Amino acid sequence: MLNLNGNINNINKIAEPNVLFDGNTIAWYDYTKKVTKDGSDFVSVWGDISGNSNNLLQAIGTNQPLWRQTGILFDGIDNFMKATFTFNQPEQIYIVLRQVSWTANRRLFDGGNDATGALQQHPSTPSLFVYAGSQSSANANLAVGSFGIVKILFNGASGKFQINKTTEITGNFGSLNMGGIVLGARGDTTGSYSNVEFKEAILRNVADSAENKSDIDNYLSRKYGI
Amino acid sequence: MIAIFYAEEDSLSLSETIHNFLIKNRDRYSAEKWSNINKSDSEEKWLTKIPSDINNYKEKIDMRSIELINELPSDWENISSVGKAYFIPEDDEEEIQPDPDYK
Repeated sequence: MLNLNGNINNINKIAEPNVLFDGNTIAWYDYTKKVTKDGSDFVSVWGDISGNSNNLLQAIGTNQPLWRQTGILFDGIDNFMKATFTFNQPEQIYIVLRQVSWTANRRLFDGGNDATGALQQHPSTPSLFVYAGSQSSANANLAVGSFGIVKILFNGASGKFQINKTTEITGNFGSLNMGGIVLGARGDTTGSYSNVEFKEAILRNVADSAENKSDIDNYLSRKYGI
Repeated sequence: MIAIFYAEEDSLSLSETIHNFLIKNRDRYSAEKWSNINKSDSEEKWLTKIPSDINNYKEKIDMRSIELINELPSDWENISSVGKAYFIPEDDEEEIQPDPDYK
């Protein structure tokens, strides 16, 4: 079996599944593509490759995350990026990330408004929960320091939350609409800054079928060796 | 590193100094400004983060008179622009050692 282990020289050789071009992909961010950074690798624009121009932006120097060979790193002090766009439930999210460190109540991401589609560190390391008006059960399946594929469906009472291939958490996570995405902080961008590194995020405006979900999951898994 | 100040104008002054320094020294630096006001919610303190690459340049900023710390105090809480509290209380914070590769 070919093991690419997420090497930056190989990751773009993995074929993207057709489902990602079905019109439901509302935003798509890949740390190896369409990233605008300065001479010290601080990122001002993480471009949307879905074709919808829902770019993640950060115009303030101190708030800009750092591009690295392994991903885009948010420092947990004041880094965040934000994209504002119409994003209503059902919201299907696939995101490849690493908790660099863990501090209770820090948000790895959120909706464009406060607590409208959050992935938050709580209650004890390395647990995470999701929230869009109601809180999911804690998911402790992503060790601090390890990259994983986080799959979330915000869809009222039919929510789903899974890390890698572990048991899926289901339930009512609330019915708030995200209205975009904030990486590295809470949606109003005034706090809950997290120390997290992202490789890729795919945001879709559909509750994916099991087959489509598997196709996207397998694509990310092969691409990054997870 | 983070610089702590007890007057807003001092924090803003360093932020502007850093911004002008980076315009001059960091390739393709295009930020609108270095930072916004960052004030503690509980005490009359302001902070300005120091760029992590500040020592990579020949030119230096004189920070000898500035109080510098390595990370935010555990009780630091930014003023919220919208007046919202966290939806989980902050009294159970737990710090985990950061990634040793992160600089």
